[in-house]
Amino acid sequence: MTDDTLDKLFGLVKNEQANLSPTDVLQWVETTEKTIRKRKKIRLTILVVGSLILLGMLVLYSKTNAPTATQVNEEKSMLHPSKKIGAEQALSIQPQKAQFNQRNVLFETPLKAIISDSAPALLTNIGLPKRDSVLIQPAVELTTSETESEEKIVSNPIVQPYISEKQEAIRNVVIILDTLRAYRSAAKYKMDQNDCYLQIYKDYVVISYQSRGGFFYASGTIHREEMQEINGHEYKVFAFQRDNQATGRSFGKRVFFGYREIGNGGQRVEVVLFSQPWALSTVIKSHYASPKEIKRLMDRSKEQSNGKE
Amino acid sequence: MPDTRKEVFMRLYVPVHERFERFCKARVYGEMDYKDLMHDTVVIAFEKFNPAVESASFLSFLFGISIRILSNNKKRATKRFEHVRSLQNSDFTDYQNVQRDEIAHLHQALSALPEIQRETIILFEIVGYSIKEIAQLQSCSEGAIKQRLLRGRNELKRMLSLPGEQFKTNES
Repeated sequence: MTDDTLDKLFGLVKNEQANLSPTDVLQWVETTEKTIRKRKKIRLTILVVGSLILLGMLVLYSKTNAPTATQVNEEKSMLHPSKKIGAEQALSIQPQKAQFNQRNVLFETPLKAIISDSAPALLTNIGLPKRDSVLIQPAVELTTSETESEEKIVSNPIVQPYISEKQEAIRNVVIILDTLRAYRSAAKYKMDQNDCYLQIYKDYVVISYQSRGGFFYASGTIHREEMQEINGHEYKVFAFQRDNQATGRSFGKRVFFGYREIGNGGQRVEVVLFSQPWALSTVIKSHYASPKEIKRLMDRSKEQSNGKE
Repeated sequence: MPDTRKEVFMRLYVPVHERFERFCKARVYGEMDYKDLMHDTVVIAFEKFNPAVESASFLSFLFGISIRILSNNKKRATKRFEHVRSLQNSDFTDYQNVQRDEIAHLHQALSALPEIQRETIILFEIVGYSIKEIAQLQSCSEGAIKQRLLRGRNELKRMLSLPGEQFKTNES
């Protein structure tokens, strides 16, 4: 075999006719194009469906694992250990403390309308500019004596008869709330059950309510509990020291409130906030009373002082 | 309206079609059906085709893909060798003329060469690539290409001088 022969053979191969035409190749290309398009559609579909599933799972996960108000509150209370020192100090001088710790969770229920008649009214009156009316300001002070009267009403020039022992203090404040109920309604404060709830735990309280578009939130350790009979109803009265609250007011101060069950031991309760938050060194703030209200209160005070009640 | 991707691809492909087919036919003799190689190459080429990049050296782009396909196939298809070879022989139906046997003989001899040598000879003698272009495609020096061409041609001459199909024994 010579080079010429080999070149001749290569020449034959070079001149050989093609078996396939470009049209065949065009068909392959078109098929490929369709396949690519289908593949893109499938990928897009998978992407969209996958994203939706992932999104759904995330939403579901966030719903199932969202902390409840109780958990949030517990976390908050753990985050502010120093705030609890005040409550513990208060507890240390309260001999009744032991019985509260033995109590299990009582109930968790939304607040009823009656709370809106009283507590928000008091809270929203705090810090308002003084009117012409006289400020009713019953005061409570904490004593460290070993006598039964741990708290007593401090003399007030306007509402003299309010000076009484601790049980009377609570009752008197309730009387003030009763007067408020006459001209403040639940609808006015636009309360609803989503924002308003009360949770009572072994020795801890969370209370939340809405008033005049504002949100109020408070929680704290119960340091005192007692029964009160007011207007024929028995109220269980708690006092707790706030260690968490949403408003900027009255932080670290004390709140009294009571509740009574309605019905045959059901979950429905009626809650009344008995007084304003107060600190050991300050007074209980109430509200700016109208002249008419003051007159009624004075009359009632006179009756009490005359021993008619 | 600008040309679609398919139109650009076909505009570049049509002028090189015959050379590409000859390359495939010579390159895969005894390994697989050259139409399969062409199809696979065109499909991959179209998927990866970037008009801005591959227009300048479209044929080299196709050859590069073909060579990679063959390289991948060779690793996993050694068992099918004999079967494919029989198919390949039956596929030479277009060799109706007198030269058919001679061309088939040449293809057989080419298939017996070492892979890189065979590719160099096909690109130079059948496709018509220059030594410089082959050197770029195979990523080696022009001297190496010349050496491969010389050795390949000598081997081909030796094999084609043998009586009958004795050279076939060399490949095994």
